[in-house]
Amino acid sequence: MTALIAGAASTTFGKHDDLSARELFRDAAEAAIGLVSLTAVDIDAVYVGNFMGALTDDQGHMGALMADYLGIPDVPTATVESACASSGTAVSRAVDAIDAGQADVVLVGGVEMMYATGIAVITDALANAADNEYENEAGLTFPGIYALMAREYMNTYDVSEEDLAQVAVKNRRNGVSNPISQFQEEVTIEEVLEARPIAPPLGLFDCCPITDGASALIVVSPEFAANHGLSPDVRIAGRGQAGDTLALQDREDMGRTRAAERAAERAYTAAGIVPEDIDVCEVHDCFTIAELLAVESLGLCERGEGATLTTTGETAKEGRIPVNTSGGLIAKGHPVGATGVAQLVEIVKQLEGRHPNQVPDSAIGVTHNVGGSGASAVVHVLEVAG
Amino acid sequence: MTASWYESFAAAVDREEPQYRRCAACGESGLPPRQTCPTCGEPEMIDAPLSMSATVVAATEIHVTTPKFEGEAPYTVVIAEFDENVRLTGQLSGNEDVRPGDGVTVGVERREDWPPVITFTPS
Ligand SMILES: [Zn+2]
Repeated sequence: MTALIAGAASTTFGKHDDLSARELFRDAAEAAIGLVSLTAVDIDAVYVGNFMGALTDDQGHMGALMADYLGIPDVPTATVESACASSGTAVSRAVDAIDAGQADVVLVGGVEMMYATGIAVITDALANAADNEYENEAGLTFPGIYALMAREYMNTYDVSEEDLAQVAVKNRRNGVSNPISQFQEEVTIEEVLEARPIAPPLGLFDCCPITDGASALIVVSPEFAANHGLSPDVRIAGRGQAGDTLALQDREDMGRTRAAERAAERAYTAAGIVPEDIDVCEVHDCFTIAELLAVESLGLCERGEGATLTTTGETAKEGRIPVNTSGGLIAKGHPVGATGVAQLVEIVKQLEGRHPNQVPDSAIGVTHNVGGSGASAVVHVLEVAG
Repeated sequence: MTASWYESFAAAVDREEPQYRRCAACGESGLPPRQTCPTCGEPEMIDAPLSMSATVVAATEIHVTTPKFEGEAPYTVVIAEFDENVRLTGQLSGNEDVRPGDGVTVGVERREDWPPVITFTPS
C-alpha cells in the first residue's frame, strides 16, 4: 500500500455557528487542496466522515453535498459513518480506492456541527453510537459508558482519579500552543478533580468538549504524484480496522478495547513496524480513561500501565513517546465526524516538521480512532515518504 | 422503534422468567438473542432460563443526561452479571449506593409512551 498524503488541513476547532456544514468543510478542503498544485477538478472521489448531520443540520448525504459545493458534482462520493471513527474509516476507503486503481486523487475529510443545537440534543445524538436497547433505554449516556469502563479499569488496576486527571492536564498543556485548538488554556490537576461531575469518576474536564470543525486530506497515488511533479512528504504505510460488540455489557473485559488492539496489530503488520518504532501518536482521548486504554491498545506499554506511562511524563511532548501533541480530543476538540482525519492532519504536520509542538526527527506516526465505546476502531501508520 | 426481542425480554422479566441465549455447541452465553455464536461461529444459540438476581460489576451516577431523562438526574446506571455469565445494563431503583459485588434483582419500570426501562434493585 502506497497512498501518499499531498495536502492536509483542519479548520480551527470550536464554535462556528455562523457557518453551515458545507461552508466549514469547504474551508478545510480548499486549504488542503491549496497545499498541492492541484484544483478541485483533479479530484476523482470524495469521502466525508459525518456522524450526526441528520440530527444537527437536518442534512444527510454529506458526501454528495460537499462534492457539489466544491464544484465537482459528477465524482463518486460517499458519507462514511462509524460514529466517532467515521473519518478514520473514510481514510481507509480512500486508500482502498487508490489501491484498487479506481482513483488517483481522493479528497477525504470529515465535518461535524455540534454547537448550535445545545448539550441535550448532542448528548442524545452521541448516544446513537451506543446500543439503543441495552444502553440508551436504561438512561446510560456516552460519558456514562466510559465512566463504567473507567470503574472496571480502576477496580482492576491501581489507578486513581488523579491519574486520570493527569491525561487532561497534559493534553490541555499541549493545546495551548496549537492554533486550531478549542481550549488554549492549561488546567491544574485540582481544577480537573474539582470540576462538576458528568458521570463519576469523570468530571467536566475529563470529557472532550462539544466542537464544530472540519478536516481534509488530499490522498494521491504514487503514479499520479510522479506524473504531476508532486513529492508528498508523507505516505500511509499501514492501516488496520477491527470491531467488537456494540454494547459494553457484552465484553468480557470492559477495561480493554480489543477492537483497537486488533486494528493496531493489523496496521503495524501492514507497515512492518513494531510499537518501539513509533515516534509520535494521536489517540482517541474522548475521555481521560480512553487515552489510558488507547496507549495500552497501541502496545506503547503493558496493560494496566497506561497511567504510569502518563504520570511519569513519557507521553508528554518532550517524553519518550509523545501522545496527543495536538492537545487531543480533550483540548483540540472533538467534531465527531472530523476527528479521524484531524488526527492524520496533526501527524502529517509532525512528519513534515511543522507542528507547533514539534517532536524532533519524527519519522513514524500513528493515529488511533475509535467509534462508540470501542465497537469500531481504525489505526493508521504514517511514515516520511521517500 | 425498539426491537421486539427487547419488549419480549422485558415482558418475561415481568413474569419473573427471563431468558438468555446459550450456545448448544460451545456453551457461550449472552444477549442480545443472536442466532450465530460470536465465539465459535455455530448457528446454535438457544433460549435458556436466566435468574432474577445478579451481581454489580460497575456503576456510575449520570449527572448530564439526554432529553428523555432530563429532570431525573442524577441517577445511577449499573452493569450487573448473572450466574449464567450474562451481563445486563439497568437503572438502579432508589438512592442506595452500590459497589461491585453487591447483589441486585432485575426488574422492569413501565412508563407511558416509552419502551420499558430495565432496573436493578439492591437485594
Ligand atoms: Zn458457540
